[in-house]
Amino acid sequence: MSWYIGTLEEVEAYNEKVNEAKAYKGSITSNWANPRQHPDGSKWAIAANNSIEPQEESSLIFTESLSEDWTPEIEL
Amino acid sequence: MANSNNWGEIYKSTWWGDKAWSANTLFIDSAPPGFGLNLLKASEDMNITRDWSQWLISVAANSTDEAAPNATDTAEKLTFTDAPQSRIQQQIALEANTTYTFSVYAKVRTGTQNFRLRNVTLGQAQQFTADTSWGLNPDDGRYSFSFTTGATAITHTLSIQNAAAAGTGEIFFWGAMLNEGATAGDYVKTEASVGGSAPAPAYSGFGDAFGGVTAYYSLRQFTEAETLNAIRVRRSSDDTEQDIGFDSNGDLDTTALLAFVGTGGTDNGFVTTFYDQSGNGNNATNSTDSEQPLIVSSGSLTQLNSKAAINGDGADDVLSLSTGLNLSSGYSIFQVVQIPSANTYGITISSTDVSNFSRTMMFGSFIKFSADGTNYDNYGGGGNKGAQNLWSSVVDGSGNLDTNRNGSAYGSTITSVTGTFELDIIGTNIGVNSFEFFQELIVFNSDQSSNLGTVTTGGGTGIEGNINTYFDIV
Repeated sequence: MSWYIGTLEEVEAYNEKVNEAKAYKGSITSNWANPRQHPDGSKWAIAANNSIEPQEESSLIFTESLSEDWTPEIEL
Repeated sequence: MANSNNWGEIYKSTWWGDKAWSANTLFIDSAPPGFGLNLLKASEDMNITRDWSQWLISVAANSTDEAAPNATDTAEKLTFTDAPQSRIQQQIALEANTTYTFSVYAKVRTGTQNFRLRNVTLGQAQQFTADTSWGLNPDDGRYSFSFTTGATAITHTLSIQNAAAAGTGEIFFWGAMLNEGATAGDYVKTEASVGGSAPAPAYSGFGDAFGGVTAYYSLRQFTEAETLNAIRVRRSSDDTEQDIGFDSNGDLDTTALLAFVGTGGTDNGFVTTFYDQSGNGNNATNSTDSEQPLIVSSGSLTQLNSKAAINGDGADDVLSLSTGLNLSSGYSIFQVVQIPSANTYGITISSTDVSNFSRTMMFGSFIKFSADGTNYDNYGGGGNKGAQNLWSSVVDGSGNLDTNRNGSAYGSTITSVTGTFELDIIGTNIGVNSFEFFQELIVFNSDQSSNLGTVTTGGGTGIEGNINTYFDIV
């Protein structure tokens, strides 16, 4: 799964753009993706839709996968 | 064979089967052939299991508690268990394209009690409310349900069944009858079969063998006695959704699934809803596109060990229960699941609460069962990742946790598991390390340790044997 990384506002704007483009017709599905916060709180990520680019003015950064530091630490 | 005339209609004979046939003779059709016959067997002996098979029900024959409507005989007392599929049923070969009426006298001692008459084969039923009166003259307390058969003459299964909302209850029954026609005919008593045994049902699911299920999510049918869907699917081509049920074998209806999603290389089907088939309606859904697991990938059914399997991405794909289950003081969880071998661990079920969390986490060589944020480790051998496993987690009323993997004890008993297990999510609650494949999740809010049974190659007994028989894990 590929991702876009940026601020919360940027990833939410991207999500809204995908939702508008998809215009879901089913009774259950209504949202493209949920923004995900980095464990250190500094940035956000959202799943990339391969068919829909971010807005031109967006500074979202595309990545093929999230690095290990995005995985929250759990007590083992 | 039925003719097509209405009762009382004057018609001109064109059919050699008419009595005293001669061409162009006029007849009055007094009743269709078959009317006046009771096609059921053992109409007053519902305890005869070679005619009436019993499913999650007890039948007291000739109960002295209640006289029959004819004031001469005694009635049968059916005690329904708390399951909508609780029932007795009988199989009858019926004509095609013909209307029949299924009727029975019913009564309760006090108050009222709901029950259903059902054509299991057609998936049609009607619910009735039995009250405290019945009799023959005048006819009272008799309930009837009419249905029309399809284009092919086949054997149909008819049931006297618990109400859709289940609950336990006792109802007295007498005088079951099936007659041709759109109304119940005058009651005709029939005798029980002599010798033989009840024919096997068309399909017998987990719910036909085990009652008291709190939630049941599976790609196999819970019971033939309810019209059920397995999943709701969103197709990638236009994002529309459709429910997918089961075929006559109780398997996921892959014909309908692939017809809906498509079989081309770009056709994907995503699970938006994993239906709770237990009758409790606690469906697991996900409204977010990117977190929905697959059931069709590139036009092909996703499978594990040759059976349909919900295919998660091993990352954030999840399905959330509409109402979280708070399990305590004895509960049992059975999962047929696989976590990806590439991940350090996989979370297969969890709570929305990530602080005082509930989770089952499968690592390479152990699993971690956490009830309420406190970790209860249960160590065992390797092989937990990248393989289909049946995990049984049973906590008794004293807080003793026993885990089985594929029917064998996994680690030793863990004591003091006293917290409430909050089951909200099928999959992870931290956005990573979710399941790879999910085929079945069964939850009892009760200790099922005495019903676990045994697992043998390709089969077994009890709950674990039932699961293994279908999924062929061992």
